[in-house]
Amino acid sequence: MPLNPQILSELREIVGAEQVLSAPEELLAYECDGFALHRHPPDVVVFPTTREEVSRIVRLANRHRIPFLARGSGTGLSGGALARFGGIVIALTRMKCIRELDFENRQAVVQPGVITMEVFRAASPSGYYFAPDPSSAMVSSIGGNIAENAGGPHCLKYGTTTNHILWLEAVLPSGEIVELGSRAADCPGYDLVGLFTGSEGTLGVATLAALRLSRLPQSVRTMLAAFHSLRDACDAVSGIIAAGIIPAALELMDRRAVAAVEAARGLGLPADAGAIVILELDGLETALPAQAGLTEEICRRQGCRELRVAATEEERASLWQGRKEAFGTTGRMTRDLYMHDAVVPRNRLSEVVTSLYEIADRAGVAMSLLAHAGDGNLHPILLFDRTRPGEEERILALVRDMLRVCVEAGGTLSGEHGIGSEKNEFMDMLFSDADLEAMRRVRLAFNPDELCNPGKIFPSRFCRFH
Amino acid sequence: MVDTLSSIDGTPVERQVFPESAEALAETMKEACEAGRTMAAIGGGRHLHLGNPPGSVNLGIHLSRLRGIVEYEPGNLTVSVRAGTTLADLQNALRAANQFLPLDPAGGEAATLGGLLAANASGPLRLRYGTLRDLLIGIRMVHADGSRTRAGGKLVKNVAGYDMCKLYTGSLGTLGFCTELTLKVQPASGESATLALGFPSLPAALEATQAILRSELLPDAVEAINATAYAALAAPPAAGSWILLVRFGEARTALHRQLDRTRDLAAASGASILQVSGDGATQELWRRLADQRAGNGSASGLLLKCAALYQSAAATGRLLEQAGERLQAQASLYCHAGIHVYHACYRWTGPECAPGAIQDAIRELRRHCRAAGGHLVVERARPEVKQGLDVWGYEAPALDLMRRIKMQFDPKGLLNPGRFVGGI
Repeated sequence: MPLNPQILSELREIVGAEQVLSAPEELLAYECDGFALHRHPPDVVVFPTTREEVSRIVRLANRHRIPFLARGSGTGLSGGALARFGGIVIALTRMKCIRELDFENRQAVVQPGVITMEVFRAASPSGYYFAPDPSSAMVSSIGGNIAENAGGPHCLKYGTTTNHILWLEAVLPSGEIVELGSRAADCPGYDLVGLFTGSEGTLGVATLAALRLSRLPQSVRTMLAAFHSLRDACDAVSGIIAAGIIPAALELMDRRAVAAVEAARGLGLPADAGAIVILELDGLETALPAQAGLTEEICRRQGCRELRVAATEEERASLWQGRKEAFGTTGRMTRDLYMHDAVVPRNRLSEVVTSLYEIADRAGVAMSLLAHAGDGNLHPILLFDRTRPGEEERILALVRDMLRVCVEAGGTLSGEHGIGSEKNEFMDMLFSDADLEAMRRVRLAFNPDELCNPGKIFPSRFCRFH
Repeated sequence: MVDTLSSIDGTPVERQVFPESAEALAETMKEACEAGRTMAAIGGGRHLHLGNPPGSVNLGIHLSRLRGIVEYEPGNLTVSVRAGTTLADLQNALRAANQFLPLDPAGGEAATLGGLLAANASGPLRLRYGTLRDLLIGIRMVHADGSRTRAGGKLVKNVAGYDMCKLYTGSLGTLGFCTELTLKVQPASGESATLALGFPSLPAALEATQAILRSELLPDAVEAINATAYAALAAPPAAGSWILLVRFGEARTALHRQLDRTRDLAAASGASILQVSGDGATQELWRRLADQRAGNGSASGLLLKCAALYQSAAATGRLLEQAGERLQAQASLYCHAGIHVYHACYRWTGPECAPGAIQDAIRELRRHCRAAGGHLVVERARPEVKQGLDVWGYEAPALDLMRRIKMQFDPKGLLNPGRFVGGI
């Protein structure tokens, strides 16, 4: 149903005519986020620049009972920024100002449209940084990171986004502007900042955030360990964690993922290895040699056939380039791909990974594996061709089987990408009705009419729109 | 362990029950809910001083029998533990695998995990390891109507659904009672050591803290305490008015390097080195400090918690000291110097000040704190002082949201009524 022209003119009045997109061809770019299997265009996209404008847009949506949702860079991987039921997309890309860098309190105050990497660029010359580092940091926005509680390779040691958000200013689903938490520590009351972070845009729109800044580590050592088999690599990861070493990052790539990067970039990674582990230690210069020694010993005990230590910043950058581009370059080898985000306990890595390969092999589907292995966060990638009849359904059935294996091993559906519209119907695997009911109570307190990003997180029987 | 309890903050506890299991707890709560009885959870009784006096307590529910470790997986660095387990028992179990929970609350390790969760208690180690909200990854709850839920799991990374663990942490038993927690644990961090540095003033101690945190050093904790607090540690007499306790935990070589570097920084900022404590002495020192910060188990006196931003941290400390003079009380001040959170313990050797005078002093302090972007919570006070005062002092617009959450979880207002912010 096309939007009432009256609403469009009200929106133009709020943000200016040139900041409203409503032509079908303009809306095409907003019909999905990084999870391209689900598509639906919004009715209109607006680009506000102030919290007051956001609030007025939200109040307007309430008045006309239209769904609305916030969107940052659109790099999310679970359909969080998908306008499932049309309505208004509030694009926050113009709210991209770093308001304050306060090194004495180790905080940065930024608008939601600020790109993750920009915070690093602004703070790092003074020796500070914002620790969460999603692989999409070059493009992802802080608002999106907050919505999805984004992770990244270095979350193993430093925690995910939620551990680094101190205070928020948000427009609630009612249009009211509130502050959540405080910039001083230990705000009294419920931890609304913790609740809002990772709520996938269903509890409101963040318009300003105070981020925790961390000190850049004095020293970093990055290594690559190549293993004959994936199982050996998994056992090495479990062994390192069990030995009480918490590296800054502990990443795993299987043979197919390495091959994809090598074919595209030729970085000189060992393409014939069964799997590689990229391992980064950081901290005090004097503490690293002992940790590195112990780590190397564990790798060798697990049959590591080659161990490289990056000797220069270029070599380090090249190792990370290999890891960060593995997803993108895998995409070149296939028409379509489906990436999981399950997490399993770290002491059960190799048994779960083995089961996942068995499932893929049995179905005759090619699979490649990336993992934030130190966290137990697995990103198996299924390669397929959507245009083949029945293929999409077959892949989705496979996805469900794989998630079930992870959940049965004590795992969860998502470690950092979110549930969104991708996995909401799988939530029953993990939670009872009473568990979901408790979450619904939260949504009722914030978003009783479900106009704010409807159709996400909850199975459809818990949703008004479906 | 609390066996029985006649009152909470002056409000009588009418009946007491000791459920043996989460199922029994759920049954008890369901019945109480149907009968419209108000309920309070009681663990180790270490945090019952927190909050406004409850409106009523028809039923005091002791959770001390829900204790023990459910599942400990050293290889995953996670542990699931029942809420009535004491922190001491948990640490003992973790020590066997050379691991620990990096949580050092005031009052030490006799508190139960459920109580710590309700109070969101933490200590100086938070500088390096964060607070309970950063350590809690899974939870089981029983709500007012007796329904049982779980959230999170035993995974260090998990974004399936809302982060209910965050909501329950620090909710003071107003949304449900916790029966089980799953926590991230840490490998033991080699050896520890503490440097005690004397400074002529609080601003000098806070500036030195900034220098430490700007450097490459990775202290576990940095506490600034006043001379009164230092003297009570039974430490050698202090040469300054404020003392900075800088604690490190590392493998030996790295530890010594850090101590040397801190000595250099201290010398550059004009501090005197009062004492260096090795591993055993460090454990003992910080244990005593935790006891002292909680008033050494004494129920008397006044305990304020005050958070500030750096720009107003020194002024806040000075006001807290002046309040002691004004109230003719002995003031021991403890400041998490890296994040500017103070605990101020006021004690009277003679008769305690009149409630009205204490309330006036608190209101004035609170006005200053707020104007500078901070806040002040009365953590412990006599019921006569608490009455006529909101111990939380939180009045932001988000309070409405909090009330709506409470309404959703406990529409009859039966769980710890009136104890939390805004009368929740």
